[in-house]
This record gives sequence, C-alpha cells and structure tokens, in this order.
Amino acid sequence: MNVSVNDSGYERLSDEELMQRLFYRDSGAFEALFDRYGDLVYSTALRVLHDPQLAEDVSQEIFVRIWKAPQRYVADRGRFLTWLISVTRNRSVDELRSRGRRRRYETASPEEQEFEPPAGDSANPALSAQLAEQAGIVRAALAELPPEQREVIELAYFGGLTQQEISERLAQPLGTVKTRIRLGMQKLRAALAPRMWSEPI
Amino acid sequence: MDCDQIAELLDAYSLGVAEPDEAAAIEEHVADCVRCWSSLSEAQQAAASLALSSALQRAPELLRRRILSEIDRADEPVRDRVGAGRVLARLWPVGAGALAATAAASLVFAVVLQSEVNDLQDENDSLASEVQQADSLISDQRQIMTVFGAPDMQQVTMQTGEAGAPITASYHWSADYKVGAILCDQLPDLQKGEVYKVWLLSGDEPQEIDSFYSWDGIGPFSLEHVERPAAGPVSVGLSIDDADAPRPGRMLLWADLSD
Repeated sequence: MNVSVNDSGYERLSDEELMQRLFYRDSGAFEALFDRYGDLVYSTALRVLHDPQLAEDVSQEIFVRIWKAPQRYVADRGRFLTWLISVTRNRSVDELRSRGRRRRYETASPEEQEFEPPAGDSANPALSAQLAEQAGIVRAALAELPPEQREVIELAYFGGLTQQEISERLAQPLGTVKTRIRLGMQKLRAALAPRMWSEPI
Repeated sequence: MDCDQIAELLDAYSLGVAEPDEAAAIEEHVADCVRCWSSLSEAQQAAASLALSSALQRAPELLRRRILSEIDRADEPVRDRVGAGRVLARLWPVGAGALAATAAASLVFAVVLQSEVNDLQDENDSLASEVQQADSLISDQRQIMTVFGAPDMQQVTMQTGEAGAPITASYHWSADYKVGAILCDQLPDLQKGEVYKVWLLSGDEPQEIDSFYSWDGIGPFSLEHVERPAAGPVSVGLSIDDADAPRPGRMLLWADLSD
C-alpha cells in the first residue's frame, strides 16, 4: 500500500519549506510547487520566447533542474518565487539568444496587455487570486511610468536585449538608455514597495 | 566601486543587462556589504515582479506529465542517500499515532530465530505486477524520506536485545504528515531461519496496520501482509523480489500491539 501525504499538508507549507523537502525526494512537495507556479513559469517563458513549444521545453528544464538540484536555491539569499522568476527569465533569454531569435520585441502598454486568468480549475484558487491581484498592481505601476522608461525596461527584461542593443534599436545614446532604466526601476520599486513587498513575492 | 557606484548599477543587474565587468563588481561588493545586498534584493524583487505583468497562460497539461515522468526517471536510489548497511523500516500509521498519543509506548527491535515461513512470492507474477511493485517501492522510499525531512520530526531510541550485536535502532515520525520510519544500523547478517523482529508496545487500542516497508541496501524487497490475528502480534512477510540479489535470509517484521 502506498501511503500518501495528505494534500492539505502541502498547502500549509511555504515555498521555502516545500523546497526543503525536495532534499528528501518528496515528489508531493515538488508537485505542489509545480501546481503553484507552473503557469507563471510557462507564461514568463512564453512572453520572452513567443513560442509555446520552446516555452514548454524551458519550463520543463527549469522544474526538472529544481528536482535534481534543489540546492541551487539558497533560502538565505531571498524568496523562492523571486529566484524562480529570475531563473525562468534568464534561461528563456539564453534560449532566445542561442537560437538567434532576436525578433523585434513589440512593447505594449499595460492597458493594452490583456490579462486572462487561466481557464479551468486552479490547483490553488487562493494563490491564483493573490497572483492576479499582484499582477494588477504591477501593471498599474508600469502604466504610471513614462512610455520611454517602460519601453527600455521591457526590452531589457522580456526582449533579452543588452543596453547597447537597446541603444541601437531606439537610436538613443547608451547613457540615455541606462538613465531610463535606472529612473524607471526606481519608480517601479517605489510604487510596488508599499503594496507588494510584504506579500509573498 | 563604492556603495553609491554600485547602487547605480543594481537595476540593470537585476534586469539582466549589466555589463559583465559591472556584474562581477556588484557580486564582489554585495558579498561583504549588507546594505547593498539588501538594495540588490529589493531591485531583484522589483525585476521579478515584471513577470507578473504578463498575461497568465495555463501551462499545457502535457507539460506536467512530461515533467513528472522525467523526475521519476531522474530519481536517485534511496540507498545512495542513507548509506549502505542500514535498514529502513516504515511503520505507519501505528507508530505515528500510538507514539504520539502516549509516552508509555516503546519499541523493541531484535533479531531472533524464527522458522521459515512459506514462500509468499507468487512465481507467476506478471511483468505488470513487477512494475507495480517497483512503483510502490519508489513511493515508499519517498515517504521514508518525507519523515526525515519533516519539520516536526520526532524520534525515540528503540530498545534492542537478543541480537548479540551492537544494533542501534530509532523510530522517527512526523505527526503532521502521519508517516514514520525505523532506522537501524549495524544489523547482523541473517542466517537461514533467522528473522528481524520489531515490537511496538503501546497502551493504546490496537490499530490496523496498513503496511511495513523494509530496505537493507540489498533489495529490492516487497512486503505482503500475512495475517492479522485477533490477538497477539501482526506478522508481515518479507519476500525478495530479485532472485539474483544476495539473500540475507528470510526476514519478518513483527508489531506487537498488545499492552
């Protein structure tokens, strides 16, 4: 007879506690992590790669790596979700660069970006609601940025372009690009801090 | 670079667009500077929050299956993690419930002589059955590791006796996860006709035993429930699946639920 840990046991655990359990090959904890963030990882990869199959491949690689080497996440250095998103974005950009898929990255204003919650039943409705709320906060903060600042931030983060490449793309001096990034991120931090940084991201 | 210079670069670094020499300088600096490390954490959180601005797409169901299938293949054998020469036995849920409920409970582990029981192995097991047993074994191994990873894990040292060897045995359990495991070291090799025995002595009413699991680094083994008498010990037969594996002898695990 196989003895299964009650699912509700995993729901009570934080991301960091679930990660700790991966050291003991707890596949239930792994599935709980995937159920929490599988959609987010896939969506982030898709946003960078614009290719569903590649986004799937990258998502698979990231989660399998987490299972094989959970020690790559060090809890003392920050929250799990921040680390997971960074890993996803960086791996996706690496994939983009390796394939030379430097497609012209079209930025869209937050108002223009349609937000559609995943269809079907969520594995964790409370978490989905929380992520949706935080997504709204981030989009509102982005909408407050001057368009030229938002553009360089999105080209850097989702487009995988270097500052020099952004400079060439926009025909703006490199110093201007760096300044826009710095000012834009400062405003973003200021807008997000009161409402998000006490939340679990 | 000083702190002010580093601060100018943290946003680009967090967005993944810092120049390589700048990134190296940041990493070197924050290793020794708590203030800049904290600023970097904030910048990284802000950068990561950008991902939330994307329209959330449902990951294909096939992706989940692919990932779970791959981690199954990638799973390392438990023996590599617990060390050779140890025996793990799982006792669930009797151990978790009974031991958590009463301080009077105790466990005794011993090796004693025992007449060989009838071979429980069905020689006509189908391949499908073997695959199912292997799946069950892997699942059991994971559950054992769950015990040792549980934040609330508790343990008691078990009494040992009649073994003529310096056996150490301890019972570990998690009340939160309702799983328990017995960890034994320095077990003597069994001769034909010898068995390992475990007694659980508790003041509680006898509880149904679902299964035991035992692994001694040689396996794989499977367990079959032999009998559940109205009174007295519950016996669980342990048969060896792999005919080519070294056979340490027939083993039995016993749980005595009487007072």
